[in-house]
Parts: sequence; C-alpha cells; structure tokens
Amino acid sequence: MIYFLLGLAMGLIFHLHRWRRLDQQLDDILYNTLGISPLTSLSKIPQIKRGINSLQNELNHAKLQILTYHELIDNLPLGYLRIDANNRLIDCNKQARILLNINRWNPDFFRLFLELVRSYELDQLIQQTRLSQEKLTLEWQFFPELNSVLDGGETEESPDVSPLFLKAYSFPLEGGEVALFIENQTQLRELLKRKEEFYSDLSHELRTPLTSMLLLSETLLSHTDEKGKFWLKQLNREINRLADLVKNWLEIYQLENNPYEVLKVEIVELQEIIKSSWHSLEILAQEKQITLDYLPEEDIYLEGDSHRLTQVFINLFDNSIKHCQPGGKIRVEARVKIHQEGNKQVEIDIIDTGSGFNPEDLPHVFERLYRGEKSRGRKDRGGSGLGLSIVKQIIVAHGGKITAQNHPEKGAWIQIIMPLKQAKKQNNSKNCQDENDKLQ
Amino acid sequence: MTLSHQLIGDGNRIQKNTCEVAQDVLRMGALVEELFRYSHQALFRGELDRVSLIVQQDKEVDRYYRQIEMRCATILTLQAPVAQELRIISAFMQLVRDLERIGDYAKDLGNIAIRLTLYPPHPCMPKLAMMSQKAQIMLAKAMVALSELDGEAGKKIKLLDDSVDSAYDELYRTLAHQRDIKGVVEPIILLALATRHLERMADHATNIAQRVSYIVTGNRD
Repeated sequence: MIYFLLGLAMGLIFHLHRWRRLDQQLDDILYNTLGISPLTSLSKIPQIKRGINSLQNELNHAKLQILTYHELIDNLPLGYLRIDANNRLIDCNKQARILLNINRWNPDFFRLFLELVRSYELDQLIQQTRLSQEKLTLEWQFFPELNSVLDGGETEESPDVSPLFLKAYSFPLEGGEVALFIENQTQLRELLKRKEEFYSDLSHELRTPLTSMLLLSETLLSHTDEKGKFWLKQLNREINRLADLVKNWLEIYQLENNPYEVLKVEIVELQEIIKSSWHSLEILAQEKQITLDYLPEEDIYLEGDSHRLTQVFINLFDNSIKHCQPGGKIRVEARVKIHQEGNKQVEIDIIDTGSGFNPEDLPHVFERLYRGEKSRGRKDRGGSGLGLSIVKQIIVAHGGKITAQNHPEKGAWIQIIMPLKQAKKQNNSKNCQDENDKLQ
Repeated sequence: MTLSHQLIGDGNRIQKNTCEVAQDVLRMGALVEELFRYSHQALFRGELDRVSLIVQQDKEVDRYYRQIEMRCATILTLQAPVAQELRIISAFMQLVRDLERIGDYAKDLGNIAIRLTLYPPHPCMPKLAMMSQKAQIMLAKAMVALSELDGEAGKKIKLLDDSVDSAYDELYRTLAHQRDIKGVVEPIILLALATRHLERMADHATNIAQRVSYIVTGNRD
C-alpha cells in the first residue's frame, strides 16, 4: 500500500513537473513568439490558436502588400533594374524593358546583364556602385535599336538609329546587389535645345536693327543741339549695351554648339595672357588702387584660343575690380598638377579681397542673365549678366572646368582647371595649324 | 540556348571561370561598340571631342584583350576543358582579337575625322555614313549572336557583309575615278582609307559571328 502511494506520489510529482514545463513553454510561445501577454482567464491552447490565426492574417496581408508593390514597380514611369552580385539581371520593370529594349527577358531564368544590355557605361556604373557602396548617377546616350537586333536589317535600308538620352541612378543593396533607376531625358534635352535655338534666333534677328539704330543715333548726334546731344549720348550708350548683350549671347551659343569652329586653337602661354588681360584693365584698377598679385613660377603652355582666354581673364578681373574695396588685391596662382595616369592639368586660382559671392547665389553665378543680390549687381558700371557665363562656356569649350566659391579668408575665389596636352600632341596640332594656314 | 545557360550549368570550376571571362568578353564587346559609335559621331557629326575619348578607351580595350587572352590560356592549361567549353574558350581567344582590331580601326577613323575637318565635306559622305551604320549593326548582331549562342547568325551576317562590300566597291570607284580635283588629294585619300577601315571592321564583325557558329556547331565554315 505504502509502495503504491509512494509510486502514485512519484507519478504525480513527475506529471506536475511535466505539466509545469509545458505551461512554461506555452507561455514562452505566447509571449516571445506571438507577442501576446497570456491571459489567466483563458486556457492557453485557444490563445495560441488565436495568435497563429492573427499571424496568418498578417502574413496574407503582407503578401498582398508585396504583390501591390511589385505591380506598382512594374508600372513605374521610371525604368527599374536589379542586378545581383554575379552581374545577373534578376528583376526589371516594363519601362526599363522599353527604354533599354530588353526583349529577351525571362523572369524564370536569370542571365548576365551584359548579355541583355550591351552598354559599357551602365556596366561601369554598376561595378563602381558595388565597389564604392555609394549612390551614383550617370547621363549617357543609349541606342535601343542596336541593343537587340535579332532579325531584319539584312535589307538595303538600314534602320534609323537614333540615341536616347538617359539618366541612371544607382543604388547599392545588401549582398553586392545593385538597383538602377533609369529616366528618359530625351524630351528634356529636346526642349532645352529648342529654347536655346529660340534665343539664338531672336538674338540674330535683333542684331541687324540694333546696328542700324546705333549708326542712326551716331549720325543724329551731329545734327542736334547741346541739350539733344546729352540725351542722344545716353541713348547711344543703352543701344551699345543692348548690342553687346546680343553679341555675347550669340557668342555663348556658338561656343556651346560648335566649339571647334569657333575656337582658333594654338599654343599659348598662360603668363602672357594673364598679363595682357590685366594690362587692358589697368586704368580701371588704378582708379580704385587695386593691385594684381601674380608671381609666375614657370612658363605654362596651353592649347587654346588666346583671344578667348584673354577674354576669360578680362571678365574675371573686371568682376573682381568691381567688387573690391579701393586698395584691394587680386591674387592669381597657377600651377601644373600631374595625375596618376600621367594626365597633366593646370590649376588657376583667382582670389580677390572683395565681399565675395552671396552664398545663395553661388549655384547660379554661371547662369545666363543671373544677377545676384544688389550688392553683387551693377551699381556703378553696367554688366550684361553674361560675363561669367561666357567665361564658363569658353573654359568648357577648351575641355576645362570652372568653379566659384568664397575663399575661407575673404573674397570671391574662382578656380579654373584646364587640361594640359602632351608635348607630342602639341606638335601635331601645330602642324595642323600650319597646314591650315598654308591652305588659306 | 544562351551563353548564360551554357556557362552556369551545374556550376563547376571551369564553368565559373569561363563565366567570368565571358563577362569580360561581353564588356569588351560593349566598349568596342561604343568606340565604333564615337568614331561615327566624330566622322559624320563633327563631334571631335569624342576622339580623345576614343584614344583613351582604346587603351582600355587593349587591356581587356591582354587580360582575356591570359585568362583563357590559364583555363586551357590548368583546367583542360573539353567539348563545347573548349570551343568557347578557343573562340573567345580569337574573337577578342577581332574586337581589338575593330577598336583600332575606330581609333584610326577618329584621327581621320580630325584631319577631314580641314576640308569641305565630300558628296559621298552620306554613303559612307550608311556604310558605317551597317557595319555597326553587323557588330551589334554579332554580339547578340554571342550572347544568344545563335549558330545561324554567321550566315545572316555574311549577307550583310556582302552589302557592305558592294558599298565599298561603289565608294572606291567614285573616289578613284574622280577627275579635275581642285587643291590637294588628302581628303580623297582619307575617305578611301575610311571606307577601307569600315570594310575591314565589317569583316571582323563577320568573323565574330562565324566564331559563334563554331561554338555552337563545331564546324568552321
């Protein structure tokens, strides 16, 4: 009997222990896995059932959500592509297939991105994004017709191959994947071009009547009395300014569109250009007692149009003189930098002691007709609002870059970076130039 | 059958290495196509700033050429591929040579474009532009054929090549039989060279397509 009771007690204890453990495990599931605090009033099994049900609902909901997102991405007006770590294209939307002319896309079998889109630039963007893990952008021309020519084209007619202007935004993802968004900028380019053409046509039309007006007003000058002369001179000045504006505008347009026809490239020496530019502004500078601080270390030979490069420095110095207090200083520093690949560049800094640019204006100073705050506008002498944009166009046409900043100490700081060609090339172009001269 | 199908397969080491080389071949192909387009733009649209880009990128093409050849040789000696893999590797080694040549011709065309700007445009320029367009399409087709492993492409591209050849003959005749030339003959020489280059580029594109046929069928024709 005692043994029986002992056995029963042992069994009970064992059972109780098991039961406690099960209870704890259920608690654990409820609390940690399902995230519900257990209620004492209800037995735990139904509670868990309820929890699982609600989880299932959430899962269905999430699945639906993912489907919706997929649908949305597929119908995005932007192209979307995703590339995995092995450079295979694993996802793309409708717009991407249209823009890049991917007509061999099969979502069940991933292929190398380069098999489907043969664009070296885009591939480089992907590699760089993966390497740097940074968001990058790329603007490039793409020829969709050439991307997948399977049949046709054997006939005599060759298809019209026209480029699309695309912009790609890359985005690094986990595990070496890269996502790309692609925007079609062809229309934008077209619009910009048309706008430019409109302005240039308008300037062209304005030029002839302006010239005659100038001549007429000058003729009239000798036929009027003293009082009339005063007004006529003012008129003359204004017409001159307008004519200058039109001329500059046309010049910018020319430089932008056919730099090779406009520029007369020769070998020029930087020091000479800077000195002669300063020389032509010396009278203005002396009025305000502004001095040039330029100590050249070596002769720097550039390939460029000496007349236009002189204009660059005249415009920049003129600006600086305008904004410097009397007794100010303009500092110019030029040096040659050699890059790893052996590319040489010349860096020119022009720093004045004036008030500097208004920080809000900095992104716009090279825009046409942009006039900043009154302080940097035209108070005493007229400016066309085209000076700096001409400077920029000339530098860009020479293959260089220009930036405007404020110097940490004081004043405006313009930096110009121009490529320096190798000596061999200089000779070549000199020969070309010579031949050109002979022909003419 | 596509290149990826062939290369990914069951993912053994040869296939993995070949896949990497194939990517470089495709990349080099895309770059060469780009060079060809740049030379077209320089020659027919006066976009001379492309020329310095071509010279720069051509170095990159040479780098790919050497690198691919080295890696193919390494795979051949160390992993001894057989059957289609062997054909792929040996076709790659020859195909990159064709690509490299096309890149060189594109560079030459760029230089011709610079020298041609000194002279007024010649009336046969539109024909030349057409020829260049066709050669570009041939190269594009050859590259598509490579990624699709299309064994039939060789024949199709051969047809295109015939039309480029006849354009070459026609241009040659017009240029060679010109009379009463005013001034120097340089522009005519340059144009004749350009047509010759384009014809050679088209030939190399045809070669590429034929090497693709060889990968698929194992026959050289």
